[in-house]
Amino acid sequence: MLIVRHLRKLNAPQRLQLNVDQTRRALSDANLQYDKDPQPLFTDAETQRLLQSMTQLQLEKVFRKRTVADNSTETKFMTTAQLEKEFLLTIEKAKKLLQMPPVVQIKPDTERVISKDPALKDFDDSKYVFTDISFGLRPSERKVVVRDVDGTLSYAPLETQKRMNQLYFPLDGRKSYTPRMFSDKELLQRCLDEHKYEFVLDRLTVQYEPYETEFHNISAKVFTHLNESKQFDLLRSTRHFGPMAFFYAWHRCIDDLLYDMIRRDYLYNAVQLIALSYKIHKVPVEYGQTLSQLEALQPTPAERALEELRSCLQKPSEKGIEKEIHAAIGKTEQDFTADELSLKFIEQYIGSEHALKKVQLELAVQTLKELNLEKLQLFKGLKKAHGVQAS
Amino acid sequence: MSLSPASGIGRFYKHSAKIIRFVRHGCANRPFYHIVVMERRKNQHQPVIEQVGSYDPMPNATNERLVALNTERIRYWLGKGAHMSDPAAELLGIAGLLPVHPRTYMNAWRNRKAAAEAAATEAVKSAETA
Amino acid sequence: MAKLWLMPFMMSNWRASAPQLAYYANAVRTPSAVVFTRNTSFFNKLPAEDIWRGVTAVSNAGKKRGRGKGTGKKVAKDLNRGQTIGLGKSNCIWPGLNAPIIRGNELTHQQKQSENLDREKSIISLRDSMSNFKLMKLNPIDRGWSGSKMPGRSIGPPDAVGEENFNLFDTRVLENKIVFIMKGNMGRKRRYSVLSVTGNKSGLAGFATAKAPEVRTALRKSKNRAGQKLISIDLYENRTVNHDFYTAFGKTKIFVFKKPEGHGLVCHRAIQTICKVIGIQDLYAKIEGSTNLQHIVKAFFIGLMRQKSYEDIANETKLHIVERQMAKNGFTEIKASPLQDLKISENDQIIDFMQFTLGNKIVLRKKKTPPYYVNTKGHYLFECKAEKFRNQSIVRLHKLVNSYT
Repeated sequence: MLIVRHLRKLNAPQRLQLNVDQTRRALSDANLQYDKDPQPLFTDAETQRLLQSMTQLQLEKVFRKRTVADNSTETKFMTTAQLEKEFLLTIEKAKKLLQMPPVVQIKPDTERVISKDPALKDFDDSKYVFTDISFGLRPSERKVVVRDVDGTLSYAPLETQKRMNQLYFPLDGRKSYTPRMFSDKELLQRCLDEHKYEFVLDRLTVQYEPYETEFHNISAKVFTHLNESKQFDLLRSTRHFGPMAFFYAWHRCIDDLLYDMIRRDYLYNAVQLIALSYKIHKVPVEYGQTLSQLEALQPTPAERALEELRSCLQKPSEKGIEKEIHAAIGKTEQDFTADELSLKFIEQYIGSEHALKKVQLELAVQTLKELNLEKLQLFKGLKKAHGVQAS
Repeated sequence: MSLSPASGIGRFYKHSAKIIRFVRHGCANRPFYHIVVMERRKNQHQPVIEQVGSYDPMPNATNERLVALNTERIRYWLGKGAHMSDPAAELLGIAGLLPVHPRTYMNAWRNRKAAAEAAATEAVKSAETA
Repeated sequence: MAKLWLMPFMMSNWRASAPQLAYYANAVRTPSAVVFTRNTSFFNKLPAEDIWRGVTAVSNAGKKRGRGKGTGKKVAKDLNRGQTIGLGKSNCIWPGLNAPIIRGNELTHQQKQSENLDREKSIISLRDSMSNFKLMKLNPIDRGWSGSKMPGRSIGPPDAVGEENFNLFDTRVLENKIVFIMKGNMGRKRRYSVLSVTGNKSGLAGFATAKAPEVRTALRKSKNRAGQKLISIDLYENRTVNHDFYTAFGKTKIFVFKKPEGHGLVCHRAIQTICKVIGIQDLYAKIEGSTNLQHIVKAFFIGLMRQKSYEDIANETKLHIVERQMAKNGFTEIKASPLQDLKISENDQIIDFMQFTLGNKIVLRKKKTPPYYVNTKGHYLFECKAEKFRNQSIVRLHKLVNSYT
């Protein structure tokens, strides 16, 4: 009852209506574009750290079973030392699999003429496209030049360049024609309605370069649809979660994602998301301190995954009673302190004018608080019962 | 694989003349050329020393003739003193890798002249009918 | 001259009738038209039955050797049976044929009547009943390895013994053959020997051979005996064997390989049948040496029984066992860890898992002999031509599927 009254006080009906309107306006545009180059902000070390941490590293999701041609298995003997090395390799591999496709500006196509030779006019009835196929060049370095019918020699437009690269050095999975999934709006819509977001984004990443207009348009469409269907968990622990969070933060519509994070008890991620949005929009709120405090309390996703891998090696007898309690509750003492810190920060955000869906968020925070309180009581009780000293 | 590989297995003779030239692949009414380095005296369908490019003389759907050139190797072989066949030299001239071949200029001039004549006769015809 | 010509005819045709003689008399006048004929042969001396027997029957000596067992069984059908003149497909009254011409005072006319639908059916059933030879009709699902033969066929669960019943079991015949033994007073005594395997499709199976003078008895005996000899078999994920293994019985050597999900059973048909009964779905087995069926079965069961669990292998070698799955992007999963760790330095050679489980045995990989035409000029030319079209079908299909030009 108390919570509800509190909420009523917080949100007068008119204000609520206003908020809903704002949200709608923000998302009604299907083609949200980056108004300026997002690359410097995206590739910034701090942003990357935040995005990676938000993405999380759930091993069973990263290394989930896929339908592949070769589904063979290899059984091996290993010593403990080799196993340790293997764990590190696994984490490295997971990090590689989770590397985010860059968010960059749309590249404008400029004409660059090498030479003009009017004496060559009408030398042939169609133009010539020359591709340099020298060994060991990167696709971006590869020169493609065009001799036009009027005798002008110039660098090829981006579209031709991409086509030639795909022709002479085909990328696995990229097609020389536009896949019907992207050319036919109905098919794309069907994919989205079936919540095949990862599939669409994966194929998009393969088919288009990040600086292409289609890449921007379709990814914006996917993220918008995702924000409406609220199936954020589908992209968690995939390489598309970072760009997605960045997209929402850039376009000021993080509230649904935030709500999802709070509901799933990923409070640290929620704080990071808010901090990212503050960072992008240069909001004068001090978030660095909270982040560094939380960072000290919480392990990074990679560390957590490594810990999970190593726990397989431990025998049940070696695990202490303290760990067993942690496993039962799902939280450690540090986690409780971190939760308190993050909740404070989140509430501050909800109180500010940046939050759009205050009611929902407030409700979620209150529910979580109650749950945490119960868990804390149980935790303390268990510890006391087992005679474990409070550290 | 029964055909000799395009990448080249031809024997290299130290003192004989090499040439950069076209080799006609494809089939009847559909030419396709490999640009290769081979012994000058050999038949085009003998194994080549190296393939340095390809040339599709039939315009594609977007009205382009596609040429691929391994410029690094072409420059290497030219530096070694390899000869050039006329069509190959013309193509490299159009690509801007070598000076434009005189024959290209001649062709261009002839084409323009023919077009101008055709336009003139057309004009006369239309004037007569009018 | 004429007399000389006539003599042989007169001698051989002394029984010829008068008109024939007249013919010969004519023939004498024109010697060029003489035709040699023999007017008597077995064909007009013997009755039809005897002649037919000469063609179809087997001689006494042949019968002793067991020839011609199938002859005489298939008799030509008498298609006239069940039919009477005047009654046919269209039911009609034909005066004078199947009806009197004058009935009472009236003249009967040709008249059509309602069709008799059952007539055709009854004739066909009559004809069917005439031959005693019938092909056994088997549902495709019930078929064994080959036609209506017993091997590979299911004969149901073993009979219940007291309270114990074998509801979830299925028994399959592996071998059904005739065996002989010599008896003092009876001579060669013939019996049927049946080898069958029974199992519940989740790791419980048994096999047994039984002999009996009747096939049916032998089947029942072997089925019930197999039910009494059940062996518990360890399965991996309820679908394949624990690990690769080598097993042998007599001159039969079997290499069995564990396979990933969806691989199927790629092995000898007897092993396939056994696997189905046990509940193994993915496996590859290579048999080397003798393919005696009883030996294959015994060797395979011995191999299955000798399998070790991962824990046992880990404790034995004091090493961890990990499994790397390609479908999971090469993720390594720990399958078993030893109870106590053996400190092994970096440089120590670690044994290969497959080598360990196969007991250092290696499958013999024979080189395939190329076909005779490989080194011919014609084949070379064909390959040269075919090489240019090596991707054509794929590209065409791809274009068709993705509908682009």
